[in-house]
Amino acid sequence: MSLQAWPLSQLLLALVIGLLCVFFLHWLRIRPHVHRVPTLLFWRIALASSRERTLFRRFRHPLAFVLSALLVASLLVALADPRTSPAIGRTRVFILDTSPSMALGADGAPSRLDLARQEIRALLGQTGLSDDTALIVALPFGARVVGFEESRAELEASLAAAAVSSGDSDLRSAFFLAAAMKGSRPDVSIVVFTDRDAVPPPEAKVESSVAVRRQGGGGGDAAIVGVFDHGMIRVRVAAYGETSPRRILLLDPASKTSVSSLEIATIPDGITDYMVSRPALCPQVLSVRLEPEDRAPMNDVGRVVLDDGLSSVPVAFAGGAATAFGSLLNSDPRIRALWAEEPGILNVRSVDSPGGSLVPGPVEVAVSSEFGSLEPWIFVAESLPAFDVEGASGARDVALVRDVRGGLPRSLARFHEETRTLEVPTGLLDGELLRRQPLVSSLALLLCRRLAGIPAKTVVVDSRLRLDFDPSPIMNSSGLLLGPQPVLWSPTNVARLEGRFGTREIAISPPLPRAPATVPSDPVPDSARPKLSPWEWLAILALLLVALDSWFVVRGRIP
Amino acid sequence: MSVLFPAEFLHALATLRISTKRVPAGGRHAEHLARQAGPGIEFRDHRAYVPGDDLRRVDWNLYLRFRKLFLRLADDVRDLPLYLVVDLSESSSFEDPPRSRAGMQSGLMLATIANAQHDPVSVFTFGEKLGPRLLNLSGRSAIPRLLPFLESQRSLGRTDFGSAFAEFTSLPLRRGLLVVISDFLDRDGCEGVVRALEGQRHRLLLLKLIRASDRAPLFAGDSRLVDSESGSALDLCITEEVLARYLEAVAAFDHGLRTFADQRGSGFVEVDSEKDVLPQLEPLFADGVYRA
Repeated sequence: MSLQAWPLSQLLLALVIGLLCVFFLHWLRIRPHVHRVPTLLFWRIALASSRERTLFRRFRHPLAFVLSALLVASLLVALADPRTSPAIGRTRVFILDTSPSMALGADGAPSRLDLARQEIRALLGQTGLSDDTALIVALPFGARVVGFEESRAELEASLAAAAVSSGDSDLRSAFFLAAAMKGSRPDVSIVVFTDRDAVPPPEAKVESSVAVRRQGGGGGDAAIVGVFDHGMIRVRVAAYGETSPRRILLLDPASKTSVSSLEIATIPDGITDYMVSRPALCPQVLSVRLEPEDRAPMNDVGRVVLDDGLSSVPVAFAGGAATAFGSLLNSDPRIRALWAEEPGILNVRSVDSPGGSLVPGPVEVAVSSEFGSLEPWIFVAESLPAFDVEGASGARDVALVRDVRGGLPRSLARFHEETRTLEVPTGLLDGELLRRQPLVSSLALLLCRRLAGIPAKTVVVDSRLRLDFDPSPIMNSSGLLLGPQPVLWSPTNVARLEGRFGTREIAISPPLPRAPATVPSDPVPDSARPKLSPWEWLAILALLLVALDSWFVVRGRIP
Repeated sequence: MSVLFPAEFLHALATLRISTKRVPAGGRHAEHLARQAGPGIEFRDHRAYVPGDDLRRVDWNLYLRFRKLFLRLADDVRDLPLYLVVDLSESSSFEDPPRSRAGMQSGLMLATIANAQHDPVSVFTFGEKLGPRLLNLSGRSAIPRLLPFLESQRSLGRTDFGSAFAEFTSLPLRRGLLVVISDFLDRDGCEGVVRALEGQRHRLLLLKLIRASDRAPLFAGDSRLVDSESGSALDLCITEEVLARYLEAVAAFDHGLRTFADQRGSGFVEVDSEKDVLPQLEPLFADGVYRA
């Protein structure tokens, strides 16, 4: 039961009615039975002998009234679940656009991404303890998700780590993902932070209030969207905004001995290619940066790695991914080239077999659903004779980790290609099911677990969950069936959790990096326990106090 | 016969008597031996004649024998005044049936017995002070006069033994048997009752009007008790502990009254106003006689 949809006037009316009922019951209670007696002499003597109880007796009735009123008020408030920001619903999904244009801002001003971060943080500061907030960082293909079950700290960490991508973000997929995450939750607000128009596609069936917070509408911005090597380096720059920005294009050579730059007075709106001369005596260019005219060239916007050993298509990516790939290439000399022909497909070639598959042996490959993402996913192939990230041939164990920079915590999950299912240990899921239980059932579960010592996981879900993938196979441009890996994080995926108490569909979010490889030693982790709001705790406390008071009253009466 | 006093009630009293060792001098000829010898029938003694003695009481046989004048003394029998003081305060009148009804029945019973013994009966009512009264009833008309008098009485307000019996003491009454019929619920407690009665010159008989609810209150829990006389209220939660202390107070009050009666050599009888009066008073008349 929830009174969230009630307006304040109706809540106040309900409160007044409830308090009147309490007062009436209290009046009935305190109205004593009147008895006419021949004399009060003996009663006064009896009372005088028990004078020490008089004080409590005087205060007992008002105390009972106050407790009863407190009970009614707290229950009502608990049901109403008040919040400081009435404009925002109980559940919010933030969609953060990471298009290259978001990295830019008006000259001298914070970038649009920074402004979006500030807005999100401000909204997070207004949320109540019982609110649920999710963050979808829209990437050029797919998105990174911080689900409702994640902690606030993790959400803020992900928010801080969000950086621009090398291509336009897929807001459409983000809306699909938001709709899938929304599920059957009532009163979900979707807030989109972008610098462009964002309209949820009708087929996504968002059915929620969508607010678009436009970022950086006034100035002009530009970003690198592609770098190509044709002897000279061709840099594709996209400009946005109402005014044409003034930028400097910098090429950072690996030798650090020289820097080529190209001053662009005014970047016209749209996509423009600029040709930059390769720095002398430096065949490898580490980065290409696009900087404001008056800004020191330290703000990474775009980077490019060019491998002169192959006449390959250059790969563009952004941010820390360049460092990650650089270390990867350096760590395994057999790998000479990584490139992406299109988003989601990674091609790996080695020096020894330039045209073929990967060499046998353990190899760790960092990829992303969108090649070039700031935080790529890592897949580990254990001694596979032929590993192709795209192929996904046969059942195998895949390690799912989230952040290449986070120390590579891994949790094994088993993928069955025949059934297209992925078995995930329950340790990978937290108490989302429990957390969303109504108050009464949550209390019942809590009591059951406390009294009978039943672990939460046992009560709610099976020891292993089966995730059935709903979407149709994704075809790439070549007509090939994509493997399950990118599908896992496709925003249209819906997982069906078949638990002991029923089946529930949830949106598939990336496996939780916090979960260890084994089942936690604590059978009832804190995250699995129902979380009651302070108002609910207050209501329970008031209920206990009233019960205690009633016990005193009953005990004080003569049977 | 009266509704208040059915005929069966009166007939049952025919065999009962009130006796006393010696009655004070004065009064009328009746059945009680007087302290002084007098012109009776039963011989008691002789004494020498002194001038002024009644010559009719000279024993002429002794004169013929001894040639001296002796007076023949005989036991004198006199009446014993019976003073019925009936409590008609509000505390005795508000219940159903009222305690005063049992009190009136008790008084009438004693008055009937006394009247049969030719003892004069005086009836006083009291509350805060003495109320209407009937004095020196005797003869055949006594009871018929007493009945409508008692039936016509109404509540006389609060109980004040001190004031009422101070007024009673001031009346010029011959010493007799004072029967106090009351619930004795004076506002000063047992001490007030004792203080008011200990100065009385009469023989005392205390009839305490009680009800079963006095020692077993029918209410419990949160209650407002209203004093029937003063109207003051007392809010309290009647717990087992409070009830125990109440019963202790009632027992202490009764003990005080009994102790006073024992010290005075007075009779003390409790009369439950919700039961028949006659069976309750029968123990007072051992062998059919109450010895005051």
